[in-house]
Amino acid sequence: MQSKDNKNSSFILFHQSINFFFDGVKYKGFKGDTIASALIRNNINFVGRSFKYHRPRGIYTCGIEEPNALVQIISEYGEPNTRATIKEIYEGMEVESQNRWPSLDYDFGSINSLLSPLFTAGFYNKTFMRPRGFWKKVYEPIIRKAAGLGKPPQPYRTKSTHFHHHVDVAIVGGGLSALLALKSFIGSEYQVLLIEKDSNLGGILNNSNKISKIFGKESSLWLKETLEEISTSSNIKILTNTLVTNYNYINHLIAIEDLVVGTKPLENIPDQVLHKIRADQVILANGHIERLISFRNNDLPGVMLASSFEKYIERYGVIPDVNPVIFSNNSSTLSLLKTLVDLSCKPQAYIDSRPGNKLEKDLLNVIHENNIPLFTNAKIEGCQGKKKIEEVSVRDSKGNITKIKTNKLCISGGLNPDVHLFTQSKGVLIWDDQYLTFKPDTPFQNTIVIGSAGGIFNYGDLGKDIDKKLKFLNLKQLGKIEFDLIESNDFFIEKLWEVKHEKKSPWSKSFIDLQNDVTTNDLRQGIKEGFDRIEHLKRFTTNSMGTDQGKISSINALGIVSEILKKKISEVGTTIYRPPYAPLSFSSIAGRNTYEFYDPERKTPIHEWHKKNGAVFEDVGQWKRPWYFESKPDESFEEAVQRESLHVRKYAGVLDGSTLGKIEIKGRDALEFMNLIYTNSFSKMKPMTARYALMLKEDGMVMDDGIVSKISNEHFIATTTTGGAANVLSHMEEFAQTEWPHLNVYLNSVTEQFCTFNISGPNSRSILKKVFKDINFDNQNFPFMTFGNYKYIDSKINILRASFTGEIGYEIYVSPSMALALWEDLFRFGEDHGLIAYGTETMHLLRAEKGYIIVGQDTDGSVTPYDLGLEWMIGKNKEDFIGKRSLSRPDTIRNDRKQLVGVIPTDKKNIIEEGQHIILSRNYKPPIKMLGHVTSSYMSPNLNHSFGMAVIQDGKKLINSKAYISSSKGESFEVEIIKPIFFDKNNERLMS
Amino acid sequence: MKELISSNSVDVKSLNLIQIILRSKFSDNINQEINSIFKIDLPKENLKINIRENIICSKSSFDQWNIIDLLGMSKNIDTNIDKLNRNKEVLVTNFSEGQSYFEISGENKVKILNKITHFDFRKKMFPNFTSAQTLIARVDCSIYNLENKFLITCNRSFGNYIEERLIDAVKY
Amino acid sequence: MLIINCPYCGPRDQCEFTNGGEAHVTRPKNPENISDQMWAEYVFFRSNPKGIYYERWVHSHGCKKWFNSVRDTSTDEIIKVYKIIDKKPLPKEFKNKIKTPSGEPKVGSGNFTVKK
Repeated sequence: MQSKDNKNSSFILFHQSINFFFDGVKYKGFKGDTIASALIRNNINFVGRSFKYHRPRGIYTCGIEEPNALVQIISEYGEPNTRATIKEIYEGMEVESQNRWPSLDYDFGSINSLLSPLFTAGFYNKTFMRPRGFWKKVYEPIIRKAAGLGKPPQPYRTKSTHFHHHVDVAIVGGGLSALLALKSFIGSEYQVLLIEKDSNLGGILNNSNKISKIFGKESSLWLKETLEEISTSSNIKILTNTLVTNYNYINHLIAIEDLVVGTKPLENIPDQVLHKIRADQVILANGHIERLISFRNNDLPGVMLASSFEKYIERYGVIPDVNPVIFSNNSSTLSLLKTLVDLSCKPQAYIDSRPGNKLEKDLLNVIHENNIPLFTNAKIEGCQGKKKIEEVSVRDSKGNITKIKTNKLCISGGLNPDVHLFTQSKGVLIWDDQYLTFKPDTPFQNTIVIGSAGGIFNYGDLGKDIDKKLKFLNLKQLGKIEFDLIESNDFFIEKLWEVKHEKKSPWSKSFIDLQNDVTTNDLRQGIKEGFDRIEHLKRFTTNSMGTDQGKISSINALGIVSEILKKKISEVGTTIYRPPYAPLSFSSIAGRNTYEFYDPERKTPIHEWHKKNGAVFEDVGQWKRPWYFESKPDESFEEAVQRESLHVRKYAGVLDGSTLGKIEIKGRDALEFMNLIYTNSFSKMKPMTARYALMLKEDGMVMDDGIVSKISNEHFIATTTTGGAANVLSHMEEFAQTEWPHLNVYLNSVTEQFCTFNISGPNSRSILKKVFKDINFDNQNFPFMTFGNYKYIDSKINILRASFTGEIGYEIYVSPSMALALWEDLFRFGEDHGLIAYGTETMHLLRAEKGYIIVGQDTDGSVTPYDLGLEWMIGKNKEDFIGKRSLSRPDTIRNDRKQLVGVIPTDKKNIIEEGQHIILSRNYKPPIKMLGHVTSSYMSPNLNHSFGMAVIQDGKKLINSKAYISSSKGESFEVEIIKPIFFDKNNERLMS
Repeated sequence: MKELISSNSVDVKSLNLIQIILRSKFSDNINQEINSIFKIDLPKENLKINIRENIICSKSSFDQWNIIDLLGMSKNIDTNIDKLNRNKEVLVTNFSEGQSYFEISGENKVKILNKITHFDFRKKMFPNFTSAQTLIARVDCSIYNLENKFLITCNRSFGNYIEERLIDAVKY
Repeated sequence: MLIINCPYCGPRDQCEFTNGGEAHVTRPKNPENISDQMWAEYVFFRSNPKGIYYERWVHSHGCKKWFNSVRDTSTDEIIKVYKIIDKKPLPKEFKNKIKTPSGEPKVGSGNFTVKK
């Protein structure tokens, strides 16, 4: 085979040569070449090995539908399955072929080809079952190694971005039909976005020779003038190098733009943009795709689709072979024939499966004028050759075989409107008996399909079709368009899906899906085994399941299946086309929402102080909270927590509690609302006092807890857990808006309006007395669970006496601008009293020593107030509150519910761990009854042993008895079940 | 006021403003009270912004208004809030310090924002002197269209993240 | 990614909303006086039809208001949006393509590609 440059192509810069490497060998191409066109220029056609059988494969097409020429770019980060027909070369690019070892020429895997009779359809489902033990040790490792087409890529950090568009009209495709439609939009009031996957607009005008004149002008001139006109219209925006991959509901398109075409991507420059487009009207003008024909060895390197061959000549300036053989069942290949002849290349033969008397006059003229051997009513029976075609066999209508020596065979099995996006939009298709293909019929969304994408293959109808479909937009009409064509005005095709092969050998194959190595025999076998529904057959044979989604062959498969089943093709139907239309990288989907931007980080106003003072942070939802503070560089987590816990009970400690939710509730009916939301009764509560409150869901289970401060019957402030803040506010809003809209009550989240400092410990009172000289903190003046409004310098603050640690404690609410000053003041005055900062782990430990629950830790949505021993929080005379009725359901009143207890080890050396199960006896005969599990556990420096809170069946009755903790590490050990309070059991310290 | 980034025909600043949120049904009474303090009327049309010198007042939904002082100069805010709150049927809260404020202006302001939010900025969907609540860079934000600039507010704890996302959107 | 027309903010992307389950599930007026079964039906049971479905949405990343919608669950088309305080629209008020239960819409379910 000999390729030849076509210097007429204006898209290739022949004066700018580029060096690149393929499988370690250096080649030369030109600026504008894709890897495929550059390899073809260098007469390289063997570029990979097939998936299952490792058969040699060549470049089959010239576009996104390529099944074979998938390569890896190792001079980048090794993205596998890159289409050589799309990726443009740049200086120094290193490309590697896939699926072969050790080399393309001598591939160990080609042994699969010899074993191929075993690898028929469905073998995945039937083999590797026995012996059973072999799966884990033998089969799986081998299959994992052999799986996939390429090698995994290297880690690579990209800066892909996203872009959102909102337009009146989005046009997908920038070819002939799109440009004609676009002319009508020039100067109109519509905002139009056109999206084209190639670097240039023009489509079929660039990729073929089919149209020589439009309205009497040379098509290249018409194109140039049209593009200039469009550029002057400010309402039209054009994206090139952008491929639409998804058409979602509602009129939402996803498109991926390549910013580094023909250049090497660099780590800090965005290389891709993911466009998200919302359009009132979508116009699909994305054209058609040629399909193959199945015959013996139709996968040998050297077989190529006819329109792709023509595209290499016109668009990429290279004639892949100067004397190919052409095989077709339709009228579209005339333009390829004429193109070759005009470039002084004579095809070795033209084989047309249609009868001679039906062939176009123009076609017959070209053939006779150039003395090209013509076979009509004839088919290619098959090809022969080792790693490329050496010879093809032509069978005429009488069955006689003629052999022709050649290295290149151009085939055309027909044209399919590209209906992927249309069916993604949930539109339905219809079978066209004239053009033998599926075309769009009923759209579901605001979708219009024009041109060949809509099944218009008659040039004379094109203008009328566009005008009719765009009429409702009140635009300029196109009228009848005059074309001077090199092909026939109306497309004519005769059915041909498969040619029967001569040899009956099990090694010669007629392929339907090239990427997944599915043969037409596999389809027959699948149907024989009972998979006669197309969705089942697809999965059984893996037909059209490759990265190319069988774009050039899936309709053929339906044709073959319909003939076997003796059903109409429309009855057989198609499988669902699934997005994306072409592979989308994860980096483009993530965009900038990765690494440091992965999740919004929330910080409290004194975050910097924590950082400077040794805080080690933990994530609580999106918040960064100090987990513990390192008092010296090598202090471990355990040491720090033990030190902090001991210190707070001995002296004083302060915690940044700003992350806890705070909700302000106000209105004439605020009291009634609060009584309905919480279990407590707030009616008799005095103003300026606070109460620990419980909130249930309608199923009676504990949802959240917090402190409710009453300013007046019309004004409350409620706190929530950090994680529950948003949920509690939504829950309250839901009931206020949907259930009780007649109540006058308003809610506002004030979580961010105040910083909260929780100071506790025996010295906390004396420290506050020093900071706030004007406030009387004595026990009688400032009792437990009361609050007041005060001033700090000039700013308003609240101080509430409450504690989560069981020591004397206060919560100070201060505005963010004064927060740091106050915090530092606390330390300035508190240093002499031993004040330290403590973190969330210490807070958890100290509250557990008092048996205080944490919602979400000790509860899990299946725990009632009775289970927790919190019946005292339920207002006695309340008629109704959310969850009340559920507390008397059969499930909530049964007597074997899990209840909260404390557990301490009998032998104080044993450590209790969270999640451990509690069992009654050491009798290990299964089934072992599990009583419950440990919900929180800590090593307490104040008790000098480990302890835990647990929920166990009939817990209350088991208090003061013994049980066992089931340990995964060895012997289970004995524990004592006690009331869930471990330290200062009479709460003397708290109330002092 | 801090200049965050100025490049690519877009200018992003972070500000410290004064803001109060009023929750109430509309009544002439409450309108008069607001007027006496801020000299501005509560808009009756949803999403509309009334503007008088440095004070803007926008209606964010049928029972919520936001009043923002763009120069952060108003005095006695807390006293005024306490006065307004004496009415049992309304809730007025000082939101000044709990939010971060950003101003984005320049020819390319919409182009930059289109990188980090799905919100539709077209004139017909987001006219001048209207406001909206939406997601920007996956964070709940309010946007105010002040003709030649947008004011964006979000919870203060997200302020650092939004600042970095805005700068990143201008750069990349 | 649907577009949902919030009655207060106008048409917005689906990502700004949270679905609130079935609409018009009224909380019993006197919970103490109803049977366990009736209470359980209010707390746990919701219908799941193919076709016309009345549901609630909340504009959680917007104005935070709740509202109702009528959606055809076989095609995901939101046929009508109305406020919480508005009256429930009757099925005959809108052109419903399929009748519940079951039945396959002529177009728009995405379950088949070829015209039936």
